[in-house]
Amino acid sequence: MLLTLTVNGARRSLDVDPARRLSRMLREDLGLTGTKVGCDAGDCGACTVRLDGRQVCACLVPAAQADGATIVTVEGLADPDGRLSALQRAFHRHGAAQCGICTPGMLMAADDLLAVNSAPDHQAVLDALGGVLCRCTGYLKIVDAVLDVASNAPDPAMPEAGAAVGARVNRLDGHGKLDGRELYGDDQTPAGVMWLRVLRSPHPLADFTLGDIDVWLKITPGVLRVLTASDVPGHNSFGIYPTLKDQPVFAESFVRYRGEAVAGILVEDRAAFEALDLDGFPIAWTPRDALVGTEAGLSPAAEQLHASSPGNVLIRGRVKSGDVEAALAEAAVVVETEIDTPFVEHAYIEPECGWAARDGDRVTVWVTTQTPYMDRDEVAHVLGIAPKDVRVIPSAVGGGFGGKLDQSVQLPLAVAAWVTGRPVATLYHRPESMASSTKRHPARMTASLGAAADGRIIGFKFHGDFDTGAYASWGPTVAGRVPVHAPGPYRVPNVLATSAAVYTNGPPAGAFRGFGVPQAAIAGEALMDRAAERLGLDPLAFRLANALRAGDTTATGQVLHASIGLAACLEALQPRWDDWKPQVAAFNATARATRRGIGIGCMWYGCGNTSMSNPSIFRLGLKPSGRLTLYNGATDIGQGSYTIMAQIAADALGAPLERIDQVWGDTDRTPDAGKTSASRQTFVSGKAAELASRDLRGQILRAVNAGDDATLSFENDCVRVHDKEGERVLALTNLPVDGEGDVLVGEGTFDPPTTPLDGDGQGIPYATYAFAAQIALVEVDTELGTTKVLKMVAAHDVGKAINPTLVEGQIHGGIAQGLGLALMEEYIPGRTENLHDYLIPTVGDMPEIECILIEDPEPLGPYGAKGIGEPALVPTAPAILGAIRHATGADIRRVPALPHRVLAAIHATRHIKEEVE
Amino acid sequence: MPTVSMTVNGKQVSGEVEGRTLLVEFLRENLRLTGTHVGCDTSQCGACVVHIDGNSAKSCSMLAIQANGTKVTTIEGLANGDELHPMQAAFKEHHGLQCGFCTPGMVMSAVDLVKKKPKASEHEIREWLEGNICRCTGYHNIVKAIQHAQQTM
Ligand code: FES
Ligand code: FES
Ligand code: FES
Ligand code: FES
Repeated sequence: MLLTLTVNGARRSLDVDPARRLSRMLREDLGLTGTKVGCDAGDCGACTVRLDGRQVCACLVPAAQADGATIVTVEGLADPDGRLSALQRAFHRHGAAQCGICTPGMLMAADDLLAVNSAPDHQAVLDALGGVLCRCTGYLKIVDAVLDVASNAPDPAMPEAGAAVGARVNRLDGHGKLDGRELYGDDQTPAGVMWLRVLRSPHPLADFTLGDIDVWLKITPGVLRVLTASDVPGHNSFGIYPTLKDQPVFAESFVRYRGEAVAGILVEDRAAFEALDLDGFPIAWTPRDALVGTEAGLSPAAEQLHASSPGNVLIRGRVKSGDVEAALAEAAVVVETEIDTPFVEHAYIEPECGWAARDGDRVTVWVTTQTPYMDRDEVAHVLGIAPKDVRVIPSAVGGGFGGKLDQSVQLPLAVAAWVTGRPVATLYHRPESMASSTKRHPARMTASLGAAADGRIIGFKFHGDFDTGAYASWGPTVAGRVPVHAPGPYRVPNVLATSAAVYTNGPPAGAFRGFGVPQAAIAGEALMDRAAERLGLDPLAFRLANALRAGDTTATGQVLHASIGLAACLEALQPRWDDWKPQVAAFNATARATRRGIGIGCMWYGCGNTSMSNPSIFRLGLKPSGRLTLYNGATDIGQGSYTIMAQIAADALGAPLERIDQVWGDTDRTPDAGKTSASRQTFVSGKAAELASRDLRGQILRAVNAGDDATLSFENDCVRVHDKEGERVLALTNLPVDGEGDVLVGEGTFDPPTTPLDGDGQGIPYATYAFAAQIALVEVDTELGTTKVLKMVAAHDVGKAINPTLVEGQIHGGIAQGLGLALMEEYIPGRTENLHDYLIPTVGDMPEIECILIEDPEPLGPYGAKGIGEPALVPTAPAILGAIRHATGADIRRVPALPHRVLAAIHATRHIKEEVE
Repeated sequence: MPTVSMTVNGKQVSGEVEGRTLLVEFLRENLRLTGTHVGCDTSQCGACVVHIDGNSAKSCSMLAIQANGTKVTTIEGLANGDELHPMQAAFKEHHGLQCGFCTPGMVMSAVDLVKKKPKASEHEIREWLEGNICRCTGYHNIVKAIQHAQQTM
């Protein structure tokens, strides 16, 4: 059908299938990739554009509907000269875009609102943005930005030399996230490549036999080739740990989870990829009884899923100090609990995608990833080639949260490109993404805590079985991290904390913001509340009295020396807590069905890998033009490492931030900065960036024989160095350049000092810990069982906030995900494999949030900084669940606290009361 | 507005529709063929099943423009004058309906099944009908009707 329409002011005519999705037409036929696709089902709103003025989900609009219409996409917002619109600039200065994948949709929804209402109130903004999901920001900065458009405030000035650290610098990669030009995984696929679809298991445990593929190839139009296990050139196995590569690229003869990859089907182009129907694919399944949940996995009758793991126990973790049984026996108060948590989905709005090409004996993979260097090594392993022959170039990443620390499209793409010699692309659709990707570990935890009559905690005992699903993934990391963190950020002399990662036929559970610590905190913090209650103490005061402080020894025997800001966090929260108490009491004195309550959660979080080397290497180069290039391998998945690393490098060198260009996360061009995980980038990579910068500074100073206190000024062909002896000039244009065109290059490496843990978990697992406490004010409808979080105050010891706007963004986003964990998120294979059955918080679910940044400097960190990504999430669910209990008495032992569970728990308390009476 | 044309129950028809017009809307509202029912509009219930070029499809979940140039058969096109199609006759004889709202979709699905798999087992029949919801009959007599129609079709 011939369509004529106006797009961003220009008349366009094109011949398209009238039923084509408008989103695809914009992206693929008109090249306007600023409009994003997160679900193709009207759930996420990433595809929002304006059609004749109104916001619509372009994925649900058939092209024919746009005939004669006027469409505006994100590319149409900025002025023709490229200057951002007032709306875009408000997003920029508020830090409203993190990964940026939702940003085009948010902007278009807001643009629709502002066109009809130039001074909207808060509720109008919530209503207008309610159809667009964001998984990163927690929405608050987005709402603030929309409310602040009218002010048309100027962009914050770039900081002077030496003043970048601590400044609220706008994201340095922000512009492209706002004008639609940033290239995510599906925005940069060249024309003419093959496309790959992965055939997946519909069963959680089944044997299969492949039929006659050659016959199927002949009768199925557009299909070029089918890849199976026998096509994998190197090892048909992968996994995070070198000794635990237990997952096949393509299953051989049987599958262990629903969604497991069985074959790769190569087709000629994208149209064939979209049209491909695998219903007739020749495969015969024989399903077996699957092991669902850790109890099934651990049952003596269970079949063993992996030869190397008898009893289906992948690994155990253990931390023991003192004598916990004796402590509990002598405690004045002992409280116990059992908590169950479910699989939780990362729900990044950008699904897995990328493309790969072979060039002679090398292969290059462009992919949305948190961990390019691990991808490189894993591809090499699977292809049976050397890591140096693999190049991984990350695209902009539309959210990760741990989910893009695992292999997804990388391996099938690399195999396909390698064996065919042709470039090949793929994209998972939303249900495929959700079925195949890793999840947060479900946990079944039992814990007890004993306290003395004077309010000292004297013993803590914990065991958690963590459902690691079909494959190991990051299971060992979770099993190792949990026992260290389980006692919480408190002085506890007697501890026994154990864990087991258990294989089942669930989806592989891997890395998800917190590596098991959020689950353990739910159990531990519930006990803190109940112990305080039994002792007649205020929950905040009880925590403060037991908070770790300098000089204390942890359960692993580590003496903490510095940067232990929990007490400061609690003290900062105290005034709000004291205000809330009478407010809640007054509300509850008059209200009937709704009741309010307040709750508190504390946490600590070791930054970096547990007892393992995890170095980062950075380089900073100086060009003959006097510009600097930061070779930054710290993948930015929205959290802001692109900006943070440059802020640190600029100050350590003494150069203005705007002088720094960057080469970002290309394994051929940037040194290995490890993974974006374990809240390690600011602490570990940031330190490496600082050291690289200091190294370059030293080289410059030595070259002109100047002292340490000199100041540098970078000009277009030289560096002028001033110290008390006057000015010296380092001319740059006559110096030899290296392969990157740099005349001088500084390098820095940092590996946080840790020691291995012994059989009792004794040692130094982390070089530093982040600390935090959050308080929540909630309202529970005791007839419906629904919970609304009204307010949260979050106090976080971040050592030093390199960029407070970005730190707050992490806190808001962490709270949003913690709220989801507490109240709504539950992944059930085969049932909640899309974003309408799997609920994540929308803009309307968010409470007011106040952030309090505590800066208790970490001597090892760059300018005293440590991590914030995961700490932001950990205390949230405990605070909310504690508030529900405070409001209603309901003791939630199975999260999420869905309305029926809250009601059941409220009824249980009534029973108990009646029995007592 | 795009124009669509198709053959419906043997007759050539055409009409102007919006791009977003569903096939079921076109059938019911433009052509007044109200035998095809809408129970959910979201592809759950199967009340709207028709045949497109001989294959059963949920007409609430495709656009009218996607049916452009096809041959569509609705429940109204199944009987031969006053003589019921064997599947319709079987439903009548075996009490395969109560309120009858699901029946057009059931019958159209069932006809497609018997054409594609004339010897479908009871299990296969039940599996095939998973996309058609009936709230009255408990399905038992529907399955019996279809088994009967396997002999008569
Ligand atoms: S892609 Fe359109 S709503 Fe998600
Ligand atoms: S910034 Fe909204 S999804 Fe990432
Ligand atoms: S109306 Fe089409 S399936 Fe229910
Ligand atoms: S007969 Fe009433 S719904 Fe089936």
